Amino acid sequence: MKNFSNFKKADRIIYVYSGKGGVGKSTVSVNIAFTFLNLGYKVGLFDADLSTPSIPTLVKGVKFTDQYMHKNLVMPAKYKGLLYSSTGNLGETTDGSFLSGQYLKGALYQLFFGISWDVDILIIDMPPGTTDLHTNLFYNLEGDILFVTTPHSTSHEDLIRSAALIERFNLNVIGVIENMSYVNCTNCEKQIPLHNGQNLDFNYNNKSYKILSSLPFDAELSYLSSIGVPYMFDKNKVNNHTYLKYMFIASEILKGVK
Amino acid sequence: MSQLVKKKEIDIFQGLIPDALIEKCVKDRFKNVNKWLSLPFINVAEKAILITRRSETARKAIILLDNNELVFIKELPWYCSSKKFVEYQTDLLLFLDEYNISVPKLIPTYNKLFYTKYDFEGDNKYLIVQEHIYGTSWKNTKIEALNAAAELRKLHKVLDSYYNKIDKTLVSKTNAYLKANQMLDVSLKSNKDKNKEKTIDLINYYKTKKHDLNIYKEELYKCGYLESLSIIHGDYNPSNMIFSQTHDILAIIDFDNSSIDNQYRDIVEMILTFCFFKYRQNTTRFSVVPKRFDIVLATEMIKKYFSGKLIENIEMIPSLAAIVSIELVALAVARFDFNDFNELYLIDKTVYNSFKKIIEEVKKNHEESAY
Repeated sequence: MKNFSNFKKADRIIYVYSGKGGVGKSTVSVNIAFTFLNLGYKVGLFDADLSTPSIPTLVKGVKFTDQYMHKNLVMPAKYKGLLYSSTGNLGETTDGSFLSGQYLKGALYQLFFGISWDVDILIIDMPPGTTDLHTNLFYNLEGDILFVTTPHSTSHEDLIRSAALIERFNLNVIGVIENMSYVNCTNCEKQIPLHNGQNLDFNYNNKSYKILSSLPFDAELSYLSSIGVPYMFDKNKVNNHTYLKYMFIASEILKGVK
Repeated sequence: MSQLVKKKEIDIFQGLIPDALIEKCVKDRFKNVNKWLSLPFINVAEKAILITRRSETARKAIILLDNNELVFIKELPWYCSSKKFVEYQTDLLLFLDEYNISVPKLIPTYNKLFYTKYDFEGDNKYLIVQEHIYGTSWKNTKIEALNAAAELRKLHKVLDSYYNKIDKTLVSKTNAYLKANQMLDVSLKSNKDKNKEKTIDLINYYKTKKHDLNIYKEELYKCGYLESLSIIHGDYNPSNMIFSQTHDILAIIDFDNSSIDNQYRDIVEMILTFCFFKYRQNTTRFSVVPKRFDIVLATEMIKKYFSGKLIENIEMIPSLAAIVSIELVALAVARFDFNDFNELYLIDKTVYNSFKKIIEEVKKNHEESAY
């Protein structure tokens, strides 16, 4: 891939990753992207889930420009200082892009490595699993890992598998976000845990992975996601619990990046 | 154990040319290339389209080599997948290129072969590798249509000299009437299984059109259709042309249907696809049942084609056009582009009458300019 790249390295490249599906990688990616956008950064958001992209659903309420093709490259959509690219914006929803081998590399070139992402922070929303696509990206582009998990043991086990993959590529891990961790009771302001799994930092291969932050299961966030408006899109939520959590995560990311 | 046997109709490559085959094509042709990528998205009017969606009959690939060169690989579709045809097609493309017709340049192997052969479940398949041409697709403008007409005239001239040069027994002969007949059979067959509730409508349509075809055929043969034969492109429509930003034709592509036939068939197909049938966006499928025939543009295109040329036997054009329109409609029915068969009866009559008017106008114009 290095032979073909026009890639301009962003100051910070963050892989949002988990071995498990459905833990909220895309939601976290989108909201972190909008957090940095609100803070005045130029942000890139790449939906690396080429076959089953979810970001288009999460941002369908935001007025992005269309993705178009310039020569061989698929240019990202734009909203203010945010560039974003997803296969979900191309063709029909049912266009399953079953891509492997040289076609997968070709797709990554056309959507990602061939593009000059002129941004400060590039967020890559990884698909679940440990596939060819992961190795293609981790091998070709060094970045920092932000794990997303839920405190359920099924999710935690896959997280350890993901950590083993990351170890092979010798990438820096910023930390773990524990998503869908609890609900804030509207009556008593108590936090009610949703899973009875371990809410702990963990070690793998003598390396410790710490929980950066636990995020609540926020009904408003869930509703906004379903209508395509990212929670962090609206700057007027400043005093909300979840908003503050995302601001905290953003600052931890800036600190944790090597 | 029987459950482990692969079902033949499932294509595990999902319409893509497998990596190993592309590697063979690349390694046989480019010495210094070590790495390459297959680009799955193609640029159609600045929209990204999956390469498998663009074409249903032939697998294609766009390859980016590590010297930044782009090449286009194309597999010959099943209906022309033979050694005889691939040799004919590559020879024809080289001849056209030599005589300054804009066609993609073929890239030969080290053994000076212009195709790569492989075995697929006992059948031979053929791939050709050619330069990739940057351009845009048809934007539905008048200037493109007139350029297509002028380019067809140029192409036909060179095809005439190719026809005089070659061994005619090596090229298959086609006939518009027989093709339309066959396509009607295909449309009936494909709908019988998948569109059962409309079978009666379709059978009525089928019978009527078989009858009409015979009437058109009588007129066509009387006008000398079978006497003046040459080489034709066979699929001269806007999606087989690559245009520049300024609407010039950069290349004519897809000679898979090239055969010995009357060249008026190319003219008729060009007019029908530029001035009558409507395409779905970015595909070769038709969108709606065509109703309005752009007679003004068609007349201009035909004048452009014949300008300064002796016109002979153009009386055959209306009946030929009606026959070709029946073939195109049958093709559309076979791939389920249209649903209501009752709307289709008048298409060939509209075509026939429109072409009558066009031909009259063209003849009048020619007589005037002769004085």
